[in-house]
Amino acid sequence: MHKEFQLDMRKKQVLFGILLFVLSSVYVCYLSLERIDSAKTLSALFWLVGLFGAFHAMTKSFSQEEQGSHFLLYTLASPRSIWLAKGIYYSLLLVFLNLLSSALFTLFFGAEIWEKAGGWLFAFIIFGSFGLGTALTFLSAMAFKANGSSGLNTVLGFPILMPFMQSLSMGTQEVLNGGDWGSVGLYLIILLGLTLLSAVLALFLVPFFWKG
Amino acid sequence: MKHWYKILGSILLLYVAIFSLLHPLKPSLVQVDVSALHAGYNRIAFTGYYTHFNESKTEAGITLGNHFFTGDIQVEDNNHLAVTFDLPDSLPSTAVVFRVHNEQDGELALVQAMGMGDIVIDTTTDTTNFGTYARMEAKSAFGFPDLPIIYETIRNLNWHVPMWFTMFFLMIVSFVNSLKLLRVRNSENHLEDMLKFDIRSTLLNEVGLVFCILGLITGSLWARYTWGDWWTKDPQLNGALVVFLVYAGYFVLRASVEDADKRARISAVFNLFAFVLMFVLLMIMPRFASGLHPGKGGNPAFSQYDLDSSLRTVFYPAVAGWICLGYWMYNVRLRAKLLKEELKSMEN
Repeated sequence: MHKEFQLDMRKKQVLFGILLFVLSSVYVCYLSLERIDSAKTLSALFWLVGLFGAFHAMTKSFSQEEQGSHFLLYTLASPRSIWLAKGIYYSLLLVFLNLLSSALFTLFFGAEIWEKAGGWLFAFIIFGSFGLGTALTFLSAMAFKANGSSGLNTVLGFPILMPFMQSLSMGTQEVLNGGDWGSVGLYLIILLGLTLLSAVLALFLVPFFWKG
Repeated sequence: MKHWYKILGSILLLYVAIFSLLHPLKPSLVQVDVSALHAGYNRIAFTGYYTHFNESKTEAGITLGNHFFTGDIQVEDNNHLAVTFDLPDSLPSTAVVFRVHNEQDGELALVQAMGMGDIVIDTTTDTTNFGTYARMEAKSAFGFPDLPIIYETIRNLNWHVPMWFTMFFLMIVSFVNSLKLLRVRNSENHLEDMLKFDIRSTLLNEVGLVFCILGLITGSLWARYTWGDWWTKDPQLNGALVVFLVYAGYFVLRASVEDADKRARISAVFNLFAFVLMFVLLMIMPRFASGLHPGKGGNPAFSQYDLDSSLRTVFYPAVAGWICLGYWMYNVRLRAKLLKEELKSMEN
């Protein structure tokens, strides 16, 4: 598990790819909007960048594996621990990505867009990243195993991530409007529930398709 | 009798088709013959639906807030009566409600946009000398519930909801087949076993998806006639669409794997995932959110308050009948598929 982490960390180009992706997409938002004056718009844009960034990161990662550099690792480690390592790594990567994109949103649109948001925003970033990371790692692994490429993960991923995205964007809207636990708690619980559900399912199911 | 469920299904669906379309609704008020009210003399003919104007003493008129305007009532028959009454020259608002009530039918009301003719609408109108209106509690009657907005479309309950029950049933059987597939141990004919379960779960999902589409269509039609739009933002509807997309993704996934053994395994895994997701999306998530679809904050369907006993006598057979039909459809598909494979192997 530790080794997997190290290996992934070494893939500098993935990290740079994500940096570039986030930078350019936030800048495109800036070019077309110039200023954001509603919580709805901000939360939708923010999580769209997050969602596509997640797909981007995942696609990059799995296409690296086609080269078979990790073949030895995959024969040694159990599929569960590989999935777990990958899942945790990608969730952390997504936390980084989302923090980065929020920093870029601040840079381009000004700090006042977050003025009403409290610490709950970080809860959403962390929960959301882990949710998307967990589900997407599982689906991408499956898509990758299915036909050796990861083009399929968008077809499988978008519908499944829809409930995640819904509670994320609605909850973030509440946060941006200055909501407290009473109004955002439900979304966090739903998010946590969905994340745990996909984690448990993935842990249970991964060994069945990883062989071969 | 291995064909029992086909016969049962056919009989049940015949019963449901006849009964759900012919069984009466509870009494309701459907029409008034005027499009405008006038100062002074008014005569309005009311048309009821399964009402008993003739059989029990009926009062009729219009209400405005808690004021009641009524007068001389001429009952024609159980469904028709006319009332003549006088209206003042000015009224405080246009929010009139047409009402009929008697002991047997209870309280019947009709809200309809109305022209006010030569009546002056003045919010400062003195209303102290208008008569007041006393509500009359409804007695229970046997018939499909007549809910506001829904009216005759309540019959769709017997078509729309069983689609989802049938889809659930087929997906559950498919889920079980996928579980069995993944439990196949390495043995001499393990590939054969796996492919057997694979074909079953795929075809079950195929027929299940057909019912999902039918459920979406009947639901959309129902939404059009009750909520006024083909699609609305509602957790139950979102969930249904996601389920449709996820299961459509299942077939895309299958199409992209060449190797039969691998395809069976991967699609079984995805099927398990999809099923659990479907359960969460359709049965659990909508309970936490608000929306238009019935059953928010409780059971995701009509609750005991709006689903009364007469509707149940048709609804449960409808569910059973559609499930039998769904399984029959799957069975036909399965036999066709197996024959096709046999034919292919004979050609080779």
